[in-house]
Amino acid sequence: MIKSFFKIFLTIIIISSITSCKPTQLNDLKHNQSVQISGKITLIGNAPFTKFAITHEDYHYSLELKTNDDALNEKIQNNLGQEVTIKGNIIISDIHSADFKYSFKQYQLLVTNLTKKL
Amino acid sequence: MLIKTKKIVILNLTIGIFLCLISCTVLDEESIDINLYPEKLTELTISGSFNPAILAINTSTDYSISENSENIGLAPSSLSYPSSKRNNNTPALFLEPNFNTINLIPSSKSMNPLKTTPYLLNEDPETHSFYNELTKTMVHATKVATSNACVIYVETNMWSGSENLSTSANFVANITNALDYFTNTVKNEATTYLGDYASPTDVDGNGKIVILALSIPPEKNTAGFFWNVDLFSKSITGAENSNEKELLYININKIKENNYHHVIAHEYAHLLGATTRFKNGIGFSFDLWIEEGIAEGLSPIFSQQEALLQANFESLAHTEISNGMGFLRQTTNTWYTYTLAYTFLEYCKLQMAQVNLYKDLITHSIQSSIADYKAIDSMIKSYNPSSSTDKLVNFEDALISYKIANYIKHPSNKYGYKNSSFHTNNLPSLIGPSSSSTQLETSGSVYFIQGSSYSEESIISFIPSTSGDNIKFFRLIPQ
Repeated sequence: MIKSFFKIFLTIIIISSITSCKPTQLNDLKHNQSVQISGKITLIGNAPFTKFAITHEDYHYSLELKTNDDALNEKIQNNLGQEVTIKGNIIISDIHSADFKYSFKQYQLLVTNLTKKL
Repeated sequence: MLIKTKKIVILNLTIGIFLCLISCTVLDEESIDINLYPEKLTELTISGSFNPAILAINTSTDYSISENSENIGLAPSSLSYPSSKRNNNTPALFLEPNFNTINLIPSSKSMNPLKTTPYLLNEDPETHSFYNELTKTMVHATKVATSNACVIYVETNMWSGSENLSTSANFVANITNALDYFTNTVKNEATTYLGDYASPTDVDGNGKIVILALSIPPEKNTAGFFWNVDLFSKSITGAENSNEKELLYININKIKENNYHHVIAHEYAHLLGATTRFKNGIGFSFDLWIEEGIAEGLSPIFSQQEALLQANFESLAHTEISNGMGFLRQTTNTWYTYTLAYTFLEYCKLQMAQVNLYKDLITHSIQSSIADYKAIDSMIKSYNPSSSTDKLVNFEDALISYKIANYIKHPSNKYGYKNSSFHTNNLPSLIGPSSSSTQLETSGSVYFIQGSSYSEESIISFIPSTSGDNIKFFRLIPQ
């Protein structure tokens, strides 16, 4: 009886810890956090200054993609609209208005690996 | 004898196999297997006066340019393809229609910079150098007009250089009219419609929006733009070239041609969306088609000209759209993203009786991180929580019903624009695709309409063949 109670308790703890770590929205993400996100590569923002982003397949938030690697950059562009899995690190920057009255946190994903979903 | 019998058996077997092979080959040559999928076709009988038609739609929400285009399979048998009727004029990116509503009044004023209202806040310098992110160059400009809401700079090379526009009475009059248009129409109408969202930041402390009329290389094919980095502090890494102003870049040709109404309203809409998010501490961008759809939708409101985007409706019969181009496609070089996104959002606005749809989308951008079609999907679902089928049910239903509405133009149900005369009267007569082999982009569609190209019999007897997984067919029959 005690054993089965312990098993159930352990399962609940494991499940809740897994789900609580899952970033369901942008502000659940932490600076420098390593993530693996599956979703579609999209273009966000107004023309002509659109940016490549990944839109999370489940939660539909978009994360701007960043890379300094030409090959990865090309891969991102070539996979526009495709379902991919991207590994990388979250970069959170504080953006201030020129008069320093307003600010927001800019979330970007520094891409280290991109795999097209089959 | 035994050997002889064996030989005969082998011979017979060989002949048998040979005949079998031949007959199979003949069969292969003569048979063409066509799989039919009647379950992919929905019959819709709708009251109204229209010719029977088959509508094929790619209902996928994938955004790929090429790979997610899907084949529609065999079209209804055609009599001919209506190539002679088609409009092959592809408009330039963000090309507004020419309006003749503003009379040119030759200016009797001096050609010196104009001042209609004294400044109260930080004074804008007489000349200024702006960074142009589009061309990555500096633009030297001269202040030529100012009001309590706006200051206009003109590229100095154009104003007093070779073109010497300062001596053109028409150009100066257009500058004066543009200043008046922004100050007394765009700003006021934005405030009426958007309320608090129409109070932008004032990062340069001048209490005004800066309009920079500049030359834009023709190959950029751009009427104007807004760069949100101009609101950022230069001290931020990556924003070193920020102009630190609320700044709208307008192609000087639009001022010269007295054709600036659309582009000023459109870029101001982008600016208000960005400053609203900034003031609320949110860094958010919708997908391109939603961002541009909102700016287009706000343009007729800000300009107080309902017919400002009449051409967007008329363009629904253009070749590219008739051949299956969709608005969920993600490229920056097509005007059709604007026109399709605008007409779709207008359709949703009328169907949901949400005159504040565009304001609600800006509200969404400061309350939710959902940036794609799901933002529209959730709005539709909250408007129709019981999923009543006589209203829009979800995004896919809105997409399908919008496509049907563009053809049926029903005055009251969801297959029309709720009898709005502007929208209904400017919907063109739709035409079929120019080729029998049709690929539909995501959210793209084609119409096969009974008439000179398709007989009634071919429409009535049509059954879909093998086609992409996301292709849905509708047979539209008048009641």
